[in-house]
Amino acid sequence: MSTLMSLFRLSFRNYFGLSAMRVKYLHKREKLWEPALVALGVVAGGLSFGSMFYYLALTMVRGSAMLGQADFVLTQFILLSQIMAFTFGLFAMISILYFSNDLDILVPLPLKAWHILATKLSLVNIVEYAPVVVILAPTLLAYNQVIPLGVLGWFTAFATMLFLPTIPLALAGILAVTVMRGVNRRHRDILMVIASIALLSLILYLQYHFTASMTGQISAEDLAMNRLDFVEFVGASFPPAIWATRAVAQHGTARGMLNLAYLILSSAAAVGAFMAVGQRVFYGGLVGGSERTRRGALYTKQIIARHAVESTALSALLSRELKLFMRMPIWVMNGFITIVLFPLMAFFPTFFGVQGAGMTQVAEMARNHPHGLAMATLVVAAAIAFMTSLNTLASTAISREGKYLWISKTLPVSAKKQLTAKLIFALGAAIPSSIPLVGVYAFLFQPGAAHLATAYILGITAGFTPQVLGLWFDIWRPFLTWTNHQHAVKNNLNAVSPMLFGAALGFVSFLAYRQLIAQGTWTTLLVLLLTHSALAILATVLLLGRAEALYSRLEVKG
Amino acid sequence: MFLFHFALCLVNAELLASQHVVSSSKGGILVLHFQQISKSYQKGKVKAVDALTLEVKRGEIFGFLGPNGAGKTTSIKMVVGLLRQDQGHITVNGYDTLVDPQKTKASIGFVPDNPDLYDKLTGMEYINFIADIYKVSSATRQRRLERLIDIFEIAGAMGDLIGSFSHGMKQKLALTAALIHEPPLLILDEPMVGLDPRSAHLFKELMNEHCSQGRTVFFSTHILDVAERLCHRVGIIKKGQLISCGTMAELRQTSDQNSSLESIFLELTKQ
Repeated sequence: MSTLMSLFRLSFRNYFGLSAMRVKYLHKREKLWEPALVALGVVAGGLSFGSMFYYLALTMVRGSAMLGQADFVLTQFILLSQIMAFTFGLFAMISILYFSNDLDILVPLPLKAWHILATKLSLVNIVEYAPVVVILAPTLLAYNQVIPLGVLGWFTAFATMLFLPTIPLALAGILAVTVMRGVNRRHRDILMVIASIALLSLILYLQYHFTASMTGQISAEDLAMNRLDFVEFVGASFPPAIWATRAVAQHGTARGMLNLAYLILSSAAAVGAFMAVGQRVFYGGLVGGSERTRRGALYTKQIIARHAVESTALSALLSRELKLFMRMPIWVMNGFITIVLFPLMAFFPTFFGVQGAGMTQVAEMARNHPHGLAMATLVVAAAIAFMTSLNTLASTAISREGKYLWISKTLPVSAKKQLTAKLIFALGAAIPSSIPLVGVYAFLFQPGAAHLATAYILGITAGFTPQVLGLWFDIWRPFLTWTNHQHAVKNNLNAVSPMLFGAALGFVSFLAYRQLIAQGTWTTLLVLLLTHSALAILATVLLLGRAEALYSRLEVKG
Repeated sequence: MFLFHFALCLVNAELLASQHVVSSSKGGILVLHFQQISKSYQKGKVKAVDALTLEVKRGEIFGFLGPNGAGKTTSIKMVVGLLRQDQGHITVNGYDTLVDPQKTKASIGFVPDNPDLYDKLTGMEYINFIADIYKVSSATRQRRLERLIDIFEIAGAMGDLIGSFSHGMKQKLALTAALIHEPPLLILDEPMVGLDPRSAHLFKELMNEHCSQGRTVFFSTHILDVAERLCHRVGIIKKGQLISCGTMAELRQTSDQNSSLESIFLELTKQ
């Protein structure tokens, strides 16, 4: 077996924990309910997101088919999946290339840098198939409703999907190895986070800016005469999306085959470019990162006196949570970045004037509709709640302790206080990060202070309950045996539990809204606000009430 | 000399006032008491600790010995709250570990066999965290820290991230953290592993000093020579059961009068 294949097989088993799972579930036959629960969660999550994308895509395909432009829906969703692959791939690539524990074993082996790079890229590529499938499978089903694909079409779609994350990930890989080679070694952790956020912000801004400038070039005549190719227009910023669309939409034709070939060849070229760049800079950045920096300052009497300052147990616990989280870039990028990125994605098009007229018209309609502002307030609250439920601060709070759990378990501090610190930390992150969304709402809709406050408080409280339940779930079933910091968050299914709880709460809230809206907008908003506040308080009280019992169940065996 | 004894009496009086006083069956004040403790793994298939009963008195250094897998670490973990026993009671300073976990933990300073400390905190941040949790005042922690940093010679590393520490340095930092609140009961699981000879020597002196102030040290070790010279009493555990316990003199009564602890240990633990 070649070196590369051998390395891939080993890394694949290690990364996805296959060997450990085989021993646990097949040999020891322990906790067999876990895979069943995981499968249930994956199916439930996949179905809820999948159905959302399906109905959205179906509406779009039916609408655009009337203009003879149904293919452009494929382009839209392909582009969306590729942007997601790039965004999350950048952080995943940095994590897996620079912070995996297996690097200490791999680097001393007589392997070329590209062996490691190819293996790691393949692993992230496999992980990124999940969002691609969740977005594109329903889109293709919706497309198939209007324009049947046939067996060959589905086969081509499958082949196309296999290559979709590759180019974004290869580009993310090139950026990752370049950024990591360049950042200052001493403040590497924080610089890496800042550099990545700045880079992503720039890319998002350029994407919006590009789309907006293209929009400006469309004339009413073009639209009226149907002279515009929407696929070319939407995919102009990223041609592989066009090739993928053409490959699927024109399957079985020479042009379709040619586009599939473009996609495959460009993917191979991108991977080759990543290998070439990585071969030059990867080891340099990696070795630089593992060098230990010693400040060397002697702790004299004066320095000790300056640092040895008493604070309360709760503030000590909070400070520990904050420092440990923020100093671990993988956790920040996997668990926290989404609550910064999504507001940014809303912020740029709004405040840099690249939004186009669409949102202004929606805002105008909302102001004129009797329930318009109530609906807008609820949408903003839902966005805040959704964003809050994406952060994994609470839902992995116990898991993240991993091998350090012995410290918390031996502290003479109540479990109630320890969990309180974790909840305050999670809430503390949600509160400021939601402000940009409220800012966007205020700027576009000018709804008034009461609506703004309602949207904000309702969003925070509705998002907090899933956080509390996520922490409950994590303390009930923590993932403590991770050996790689990335696994603690990224490969921890507890991290998605708030999203599932949030989806359920959101569904019930939507049903309640439909029942209540006839009673008046403010009645509806107030009922929802009070209900969600009561739920958040109730969940917190119940969790803290059970804290000691739950905490004492946790055993540190290893 | 008189003043020294007077000071010791004051410390002892203070300690007595702050703890539930429980007397041992052979006299002396009990600090740690295992009562018929049992613990199994894998749904009862593996018995790690089996009806262990053991008393540790205030002011003594107690060595907990046994072959690999005998149940030493499991027993220690049950005392400090990392594991729950299936049966029996453990009391620390008169407090039941399951009924009053916070009070028992407040009385303990603990160093595990492999001190995994937060890689992303500096040494000083970690010590400050522990001191805050144990409510050590600023003035007291300054005074104690100056001394401990000096003893363990870690003044140059306190500002560094723990992730950059060697195993021995982590061990020293863990010991500093365990001693910063001057606990009535110091529990150490294989404390000598990773310490250089000088630090090991200083540490042994520190254990002696800790006991001379009316406090207690309970530690597990494989280094029988250290146990023989340092401990007031030792307990030998095998397959989860206490097979011998007492002073060196008492242990020798079960064997040849001139036997070393190593010989006694080998004799008692052979299959």
